[in-house]
Amino acid sequence: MAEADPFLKRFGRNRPAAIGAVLLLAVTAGGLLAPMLSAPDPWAMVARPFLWPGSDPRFPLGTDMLGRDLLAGILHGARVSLLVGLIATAAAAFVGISIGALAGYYGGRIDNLLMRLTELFQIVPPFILAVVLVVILEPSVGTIILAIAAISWPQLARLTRAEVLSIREREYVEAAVSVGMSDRRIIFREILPNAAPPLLVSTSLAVATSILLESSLSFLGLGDPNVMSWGTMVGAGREVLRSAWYVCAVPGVAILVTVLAINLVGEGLNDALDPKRRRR
Amino acid sequence: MTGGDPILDIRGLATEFHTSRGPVRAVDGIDLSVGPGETVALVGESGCGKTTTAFSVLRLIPRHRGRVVAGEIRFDRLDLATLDERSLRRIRGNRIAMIFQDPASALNPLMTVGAQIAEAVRLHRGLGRAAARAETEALLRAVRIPEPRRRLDEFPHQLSGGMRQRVMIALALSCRPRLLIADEPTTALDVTVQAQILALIEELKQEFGMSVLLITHDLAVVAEVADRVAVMYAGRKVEEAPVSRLFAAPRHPYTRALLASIPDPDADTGGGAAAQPLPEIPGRVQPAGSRIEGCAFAERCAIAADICRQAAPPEALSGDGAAVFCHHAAPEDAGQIAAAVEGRL
Amino acid sequence: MNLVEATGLVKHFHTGHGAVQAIDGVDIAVREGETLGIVGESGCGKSTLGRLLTGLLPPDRGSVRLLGEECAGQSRRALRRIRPLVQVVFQNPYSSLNPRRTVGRTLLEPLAVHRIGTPRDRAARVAAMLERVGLSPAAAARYPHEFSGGQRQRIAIARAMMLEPRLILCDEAVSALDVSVQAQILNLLAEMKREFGLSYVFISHDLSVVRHIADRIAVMYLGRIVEVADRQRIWSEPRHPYTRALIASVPRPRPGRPKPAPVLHDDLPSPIDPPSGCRFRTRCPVATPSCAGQAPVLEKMGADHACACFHA
Repeated sequence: MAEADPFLKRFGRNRPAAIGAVLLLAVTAGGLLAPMLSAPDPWAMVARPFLWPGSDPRFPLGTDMLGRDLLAGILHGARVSLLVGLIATAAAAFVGISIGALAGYYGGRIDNLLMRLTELFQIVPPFILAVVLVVILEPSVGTIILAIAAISWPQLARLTRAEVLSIREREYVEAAVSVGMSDRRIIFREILPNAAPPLLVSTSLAVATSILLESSLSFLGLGDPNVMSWGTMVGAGREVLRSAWYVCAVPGVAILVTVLAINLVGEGLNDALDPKRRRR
Repeated sequence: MTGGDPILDIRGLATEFHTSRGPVRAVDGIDLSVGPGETVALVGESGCGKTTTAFSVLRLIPRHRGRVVAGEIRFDRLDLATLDERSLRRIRGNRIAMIFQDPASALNPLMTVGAQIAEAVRLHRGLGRAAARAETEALLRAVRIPEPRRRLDEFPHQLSGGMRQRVMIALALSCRPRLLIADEPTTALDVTVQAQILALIEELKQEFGMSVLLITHDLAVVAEVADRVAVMYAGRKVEEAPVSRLFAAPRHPYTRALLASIPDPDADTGGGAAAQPLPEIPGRVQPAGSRIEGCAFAERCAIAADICRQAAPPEALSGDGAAVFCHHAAPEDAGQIAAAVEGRL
Repeated sequence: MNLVEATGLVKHFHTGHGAVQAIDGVDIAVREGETLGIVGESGCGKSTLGRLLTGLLPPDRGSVRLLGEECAGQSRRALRRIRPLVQVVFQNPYSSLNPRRTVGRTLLEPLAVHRIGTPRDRAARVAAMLERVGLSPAAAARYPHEFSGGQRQRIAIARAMMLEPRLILCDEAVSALDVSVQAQILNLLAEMKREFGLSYVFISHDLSVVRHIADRIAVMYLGRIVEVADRQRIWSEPRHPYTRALIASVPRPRPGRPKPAPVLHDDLPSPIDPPSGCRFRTRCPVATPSCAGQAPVLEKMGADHACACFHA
């Protein structure tokens, strides 16, 4: 763990990345503590509809057209957004990195087969594919996660394959072969750790994309009808956009801030993991 | 040795690179001159500052990376160290041309070789399109490229490494330079191609009346083509001598050790017996930037004494421009004897 | 006795422009305790041959017997058992060590893979090996980027030695090093050979180096061996015109010697579409029309000397 400390230092010295990390922590804390910080049920109609933000201290972010507390919606929505973002990305990363690593390492026919499979998922515009999947499988948190994972993995698979292809040719990998290491050991111990920096960065950015995708699906009314999410809130506020724009704007800002925070963290990781910047 | 005033005369050149740990001196007070029609070799191991010296002559070091901090670079009554950028551009690639180790990266991959040379010819010599093409063909012929007319329309990737280096040389010759700086021109090439390119440079030198400053790490190449040799170590010149003298009677311990450590392909090994161990130079070159009080080689030198670590060795000059920087330099004539005593020649 | 015996080796690589005939019919043996040098210009197939001889690459055709055991056509799993006998040291000291591993881990790994010794035992062996190659045992805790090129090459040699191999493939192992460091590494390799009774396959484009270290030298041209002999003989009595040209091209550290005119003028033909018959005939100073027909085979020219040329 000799490397962890200077790594954190490098990361912390990067001002935007530190700000991103703080914002992200705040969103996570908000989501975790949602029931304590606001109403336990974000669907409950707790006040007069169309309370503008700031007009009633009990509901600092105001209420929507049904009198539901927007703050409660934002906090509970954070749970859904982060949950969907993390699980979908984890699933995509697992599938994508596995397929990419196998294709890159073995090459030849296996590579061809896996890459054609990957392309299959990339021919259809990804968002349309997600919509189709959710519609066929009935909207629920589970199917949304599945749909997002299904359209996110190909990119990670391609990146992993490219990295593995180049690292596979390095001589220390050949030396590992000559030592008699098994393929699995070579992939996991020699190749993937050296491919980690770009993969880590791109995976962190995939979390942001997943959150956006979830919001977009919910906005189109394809969200899970039983959970409050930011996309659902934006979607619901759409009809009153002219008279009460804040109903859309409040969850919109929440999405913006979270995605931005993750992007900042991702870029911070990129810089901190770049060995060329390490010496500075 | 060729007589006459030197074409290029470097005095006290120092070049620094900017790093996060402050300026690092890559070249630390070098004197070097190249006479008309002469081939001077600058040899040393990686990191000794030989390439930096060559780049400093044309001030090719990007400004954000480093700069020449002291010294004069006299070329044709001008001082290249202080010359303004516009006048310098007229000299680069015109009266001083340069070729590099890797011709593949020095050529534009998207232009035919003919177009690249013709562009240089038109730029520097003001020829028209047709005249430039004819001149280009003549240049390709001059560097002994077979079927030059066909090659004009080929792209760099269609040529072999040796052919590409020939094209680079044609490009360098396009302006009839007075000085050719060749930075490891044959290091990336196979030995048979290396022999061809070295012979070509030699012939062209006569034909075009050029002088050559050859930068290389390969002492055998130096022996084949150079008239005079300067040996560099850790940013400083440690010895300079006419080539035959340097090989026959090296005076600096570093030069002696370096010459001893190259395997001689013609050594009599007595029928398949295991080879004698090569004399080694212990340790390694100090990383650039470590300030050295005395002699830079003292750490690795077999005959270093206290004085070597305390004071920079003075320059000991002898006839025909030979010089050595060492507190314990082998005597001029006895150099060969001393080396023989140490069993190194 | 022969450590490795290869017969009829063929290896083609398929590219977008056609099949590169990297190795096209090679028979060669590596004897117990010898250093076999392989020389030739870039693209002659010497690295491929090295990889075939050490089982790192499977041949398309032909047989590679290592201590009498056939390696060609074996599964990767079966090969893993033979692998410890043959190790490699590569050219590039910067890409031959895993940058994210300490030197100690890199050296332990071979022992761990083959479950040799207890953990304490292994650490002791790593320390001893580091010392043997001229590094401090403390080097085990450091990362590759903390070492110079020569030191990394010492580490690579230590790694190759961990499994007590019989044969080490040195693929341009000293080509990236400075002359003074190159001498250190060549001497280290020679010491290791004496001490552990190793054999080397030593591949290099630098004839002076090969001539220094090898007992026997094989000269390759476009995927075939054109001449093989002990190092003294190949230098003093080269029979193949290509060998002669190659030796004449080597620069000598003797200023003022009469310079021979370069013998070879054209470049290497494409290995995708090599000349018929003798592959050297397009550049050969003594070629005759008959050279285009049958390909010459290696023929014995006295003890320990074979040459593939009709006009040898």
